Amino acid sequence: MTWSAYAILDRVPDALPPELHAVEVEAGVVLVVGPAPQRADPTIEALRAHDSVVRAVAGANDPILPMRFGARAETEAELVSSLRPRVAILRDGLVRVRDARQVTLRVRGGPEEPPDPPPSGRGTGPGRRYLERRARALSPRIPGWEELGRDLRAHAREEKIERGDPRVERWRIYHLVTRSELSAHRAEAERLRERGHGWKIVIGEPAPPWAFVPEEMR
Amino acid sequence: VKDRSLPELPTAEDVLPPDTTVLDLLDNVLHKGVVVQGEVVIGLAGIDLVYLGANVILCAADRVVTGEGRPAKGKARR
Repeated sequence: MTWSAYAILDRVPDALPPELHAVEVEAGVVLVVGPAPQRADPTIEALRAHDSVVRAVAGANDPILPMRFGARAETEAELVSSLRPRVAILRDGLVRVRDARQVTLRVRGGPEEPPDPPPSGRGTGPGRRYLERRARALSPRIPGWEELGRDLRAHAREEKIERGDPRVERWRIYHLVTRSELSAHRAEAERLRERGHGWKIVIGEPAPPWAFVPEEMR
Repeated sequence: VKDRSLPELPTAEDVLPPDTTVLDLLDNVLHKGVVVQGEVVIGLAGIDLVYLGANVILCAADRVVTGEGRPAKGKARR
């Protein structure tokens, strides 16, 4: 049998959907697994099935760290042993996302990122320039968002920004929002969308905190 | 002069589904979340993050392109 990993919780849940069960990795880190087809083809149906299981678990448990599609093994023990060296990171990750949901904003239109600044100062060799480009790619800044998004950011616990797929959206903004702030965050996001300023913003529904799992585990 | 311009392509707005469900699905389920493959360790931002990114892309692309079930053990190791 093949097992698929769906989520990390901080305790064994009282109840799970019947096809799933929980395995304690170490104290405070519990892996939710379930039987999976032998093939892991990433069809839309398979991704949707994975997503629906994660959502079902997230609906009854908090905090939760979702597992990416494709985390599977022949035995549960194999999955558990692959996580065991990193339980400290997972514990911290669970604390980070406790009582919060992810809201994704997709920005279509809006400003483009300015071109890379010319190298200057000391140490402008190719290695340094490469690492600087990587750093900018990993932490892009949207011109004007600092000011425009201030009121919305006040309702978010954390913000992450990524460049989008140019065929679809220019930017993706992920907010980690405390559950009690979700309504206020949504209302402010709607206001921001209506004001426009040339930005076209698609507001996502609250979801498990996919983008806020520990960086070391992504 | 004969107009040789290409037919107008649909904009992202035309092809974007009315909701973002599929986009969210691809973005979250295939590209976010905790991974278990490999011994990916990063200490400092920079070079190690490059390894991490390469691993993540390798895993996802491998499944998408070949569709051959679970990846071989150790495929995502750096």
